[in-house]
Amino acid sequence: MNKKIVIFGIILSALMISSCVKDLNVTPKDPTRILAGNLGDDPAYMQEVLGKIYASFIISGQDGTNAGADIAASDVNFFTTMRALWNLQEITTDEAICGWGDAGISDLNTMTWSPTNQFLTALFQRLSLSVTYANDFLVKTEGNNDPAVVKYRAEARFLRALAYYWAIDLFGQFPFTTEADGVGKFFPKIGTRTQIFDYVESELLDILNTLGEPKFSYPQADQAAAWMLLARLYLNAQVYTGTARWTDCKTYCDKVISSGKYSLATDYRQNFSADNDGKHNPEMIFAWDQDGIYTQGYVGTTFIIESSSDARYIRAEDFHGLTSNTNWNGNRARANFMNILVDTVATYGNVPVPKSDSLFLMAKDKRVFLKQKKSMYIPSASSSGDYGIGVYKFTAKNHDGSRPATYSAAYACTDFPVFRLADAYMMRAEALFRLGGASNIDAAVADINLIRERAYGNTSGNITSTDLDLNFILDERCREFYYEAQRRTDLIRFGKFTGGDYLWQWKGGTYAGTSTSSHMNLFPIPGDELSANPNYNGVNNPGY
Amino acid sequence: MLNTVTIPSGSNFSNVLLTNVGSMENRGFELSLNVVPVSKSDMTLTIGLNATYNKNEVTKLLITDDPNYIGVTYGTSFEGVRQVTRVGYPVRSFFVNKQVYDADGKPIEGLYVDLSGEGGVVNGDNADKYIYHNPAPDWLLGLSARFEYKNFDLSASARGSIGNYVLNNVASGASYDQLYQIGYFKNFTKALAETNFVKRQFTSDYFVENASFLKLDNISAGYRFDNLFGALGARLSFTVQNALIVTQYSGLDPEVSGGFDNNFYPRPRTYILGLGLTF
Repeated sequence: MNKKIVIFGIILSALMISSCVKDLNVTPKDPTRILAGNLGDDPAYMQEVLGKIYASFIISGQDGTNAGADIAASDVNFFTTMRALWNLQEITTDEAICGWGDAGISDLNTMTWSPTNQFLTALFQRLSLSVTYANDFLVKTEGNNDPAVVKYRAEARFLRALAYYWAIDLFGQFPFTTEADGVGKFFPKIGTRTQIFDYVESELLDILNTLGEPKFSYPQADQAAAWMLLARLYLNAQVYTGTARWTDCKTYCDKVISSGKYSLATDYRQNFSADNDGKHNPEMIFAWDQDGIYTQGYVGTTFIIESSSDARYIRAEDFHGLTSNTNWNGNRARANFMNILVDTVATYGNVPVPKSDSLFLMAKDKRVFLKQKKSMYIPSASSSGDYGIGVYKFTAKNHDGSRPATYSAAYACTDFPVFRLADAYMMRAEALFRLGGASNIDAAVADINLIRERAYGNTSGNITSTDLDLNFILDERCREFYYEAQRRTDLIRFGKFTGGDYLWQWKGGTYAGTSTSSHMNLFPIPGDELSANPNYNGVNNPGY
Repeated sequence: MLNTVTIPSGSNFSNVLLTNVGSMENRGFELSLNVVPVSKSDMTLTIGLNATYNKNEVTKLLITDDPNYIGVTYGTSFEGVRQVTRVGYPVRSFFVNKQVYDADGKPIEGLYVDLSGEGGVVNGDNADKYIYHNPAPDWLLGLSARFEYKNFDLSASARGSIGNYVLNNVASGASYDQLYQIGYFKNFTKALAETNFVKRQFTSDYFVENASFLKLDNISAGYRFDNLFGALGARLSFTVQNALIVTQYSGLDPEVSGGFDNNFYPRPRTYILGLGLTF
C-alpha cells in the first residue's frame, strides 16, 4: 500500500512539473507588439528593423527627440555615434577645438585622453551595438529568399562592415562578433586589427553583387557605398595592416567614377546644405539621413552647426535659419588650419589677416566658410568659443538659402556626408601619386585639378605635377573635407597626427603645440570594457 | 543580488544590463535567553533576553573582478554621492570626505584630506572619499521583564542597537547661507552653532555619527483590586511608552531607517493611566 502511494506520488509530481514548463511559454497578447520571432513573417517589419541599424549610427535611440538612448550614458545626445566620432576625429586635430567644460572634452582638445574618456567609451559601445543589431537582423532573416530581404541583408552586412571599419581605425582591436555569435550573455572574442580588416574586406567583396545599383534608393547603402568603403579601407591599409594596397584603392575609386552615376555638385556648399541628399545632390554617395521632422535630435549635422554657432559672430539664426536652442558656442578651428585653407600670403600679401575681411571674402578658394572671431589664437585650451576661427561650412538652409520642406526650428535636415564623389577623386589621386611614375602622377594632378576647379570656379587654382607632393595631398584633403570627421585618419596616414612633425595650437597641451607620443594614433580600449570582458586579459592598447 | 553592470560590448543590445551577478555574506549569531529566577505562589519574575550579532560583507558585484571598481554609489546630484556598496565592505556603507579639524577640534569648513593625493578639488570628489561605517548595527539587543507580587505587577521592555551609524542630514543641511530665505528667517538646529559653516558640507564625515542606542520602550505598573464592591473588580495601571533613550547621537532620534536622518518626525513619550473594571 505504502509503495503504491509513493510511486503514484512520484508520477503525479512528474506530471505536474512538465505541465508547469509548458505554462511558462507565454506570448504577450497585445496585438501591437511585434516579437523578434515574428520578423520572418512580413518584409515590412524587416525594413523597419533595417532602418533601426541605419539609425543607430546617427540618433540616440528609439523614443524620439532627446530621450530614450540605446545605451545608458550621462547625456542622450553627446554620446551618439556620429557626434562622438566627429569629436574624436576633429577636436583632436588642427581642424577643431571645443570650448565646453564637459568631462572628457579638454582631454580630446589637447591629446591627453585616458581609457575613462566618456566619448571614446560611448563610441566603442555604440559601434559594437550597431554590429550587434546587424548580427541579430541577419540571424532573424536567415534563409529568407525574398529579393527585397536579400538586399536588406546585404545592407546590414555593409553597415556592420562600416562599424568595424571605424572600430579598427579608432581602436585597432575590437570585440569581434558575427551572426554566428547571437545575442546574450557571453564574452565576445577580441579580433585584432588585421583580422577585422580581412573580415571587412571579405564581407564587402561578398556583398558587392547583392547590394542595389548605385543610387537605387538613397539613403540606402548601394554598390557605390561599398566601393567607397573598400577604397577607404585600402587607402589606409598600410596603417591598419602594415601592407599598402594603393592599386586596390585606385580600382574601387575607378568603379565609382566610371559608374557615371555621380558628378561633382556645381556648388561645393550643396554638400553641406539641407538639400545635400542623394536625391538632389549628384555628388552624394552615402550619408546618414537627417531630417527636421523624422530624425530629430541634437546629433550629427545639427550638432556640428549649433556647436559651431555663437550669439555674437556666427548666429545660427542668421547663418543657418535655426531659431530654437541655438548658438552652443563650442567648436571652432585652430589658426593652423586656417593657414592651410586660406593662402593668406597670396590673398592678403605678407601682412596679418586684416580684421576688415572677417569672412575671408578675398580668398579665391570658394571652400572657405570661416569667420574671424575675437582673436585667431586661442589663449587657453578651454577658452570660450569666441576665440579661434569660426566655421559655418555645414548649414541647415538649402544651398540657395531657401528653407527645406521639412524645416524645423531646432533640427537640421542636412545629411551627414560619409562618402561623396570628391573623395573618390582625392583617394584615387593619392593612390596614384603613391604608386608613382610620371603617368600616374599626371593622372593624380588631373583628379586634384577637377576638385580645385570647382573650388576656384575656374582653372586659376590648378596645379602642375611639380606642385604635387604628399604634403599637398594632405592639405588638399583638409581643404576639401574639413569638418567631415576625416582629419584624424588622414593625419595618421601621413604620419603627422602624433609626434613633432606637425604642431598645432594646444596639441599636447601647450600654446604652440608640442610633440606627442605615437601610441596616441590609437585610442585606448575603454576601462569599462576592459574590466567587463576577460578576453582582453586586462591588457590595453600599447602605451595605455 | 542584482546590479546594473557594464556588459562586454558586442554581446547584447545595450552597454549596461541589470544582471544577477552580485553576492554577499552575512555572518553572525543569535542568542536567546528566557529566565524565571523567582517562581513562588505569590511572586514571579520572568526575564527574556536576546542578542544578535551580524556582519555583512559584499563579495561580488561585477561579472569579472575589477579591483578599481568604485562600487554602486548612491546620492543625488545636489548632495553628491554619500553611500557606496563595494566589494569587501557592508552594503550601503557611508562614502564621505575625511574632515580636517582645527586645534580646538572644530571642523574646518570645506577642508578635507586629499586621500587620492592627486590634488585639485577634494570636496565632493569620489576619488578622495573613503568608506566610513555603515547604517546597519553590529548588535541588536532585546530585553523584557515581568514581575508579579500578589496583586501588583510591573513589566518593562527595552531594545538596544550597537554599532549603527547615521548621517545627520539635518545638521549637514544647516549653514548660515541658508538662514535667510526670501522674506523670512529659517530655524536651524544647534548643530550650526557647533560647525559655524557658511556653506553646506554634505559629504563631510563629521556628520556621520555613532547612533548606538538603548531604548526603554515600555514600562508599566498595575494593581488589581479584587472584590471592590461585591462582584465588581478593578485594575489600575500606569504605563509609559518611549520612556528612555540612551544615546550619543545628536539628532532627534537615532533610530531612522536607511541611515539618513532627514528631519525625522519625533516619537512622542506617552503616559497612560488605565482603569479597568470587571463585573
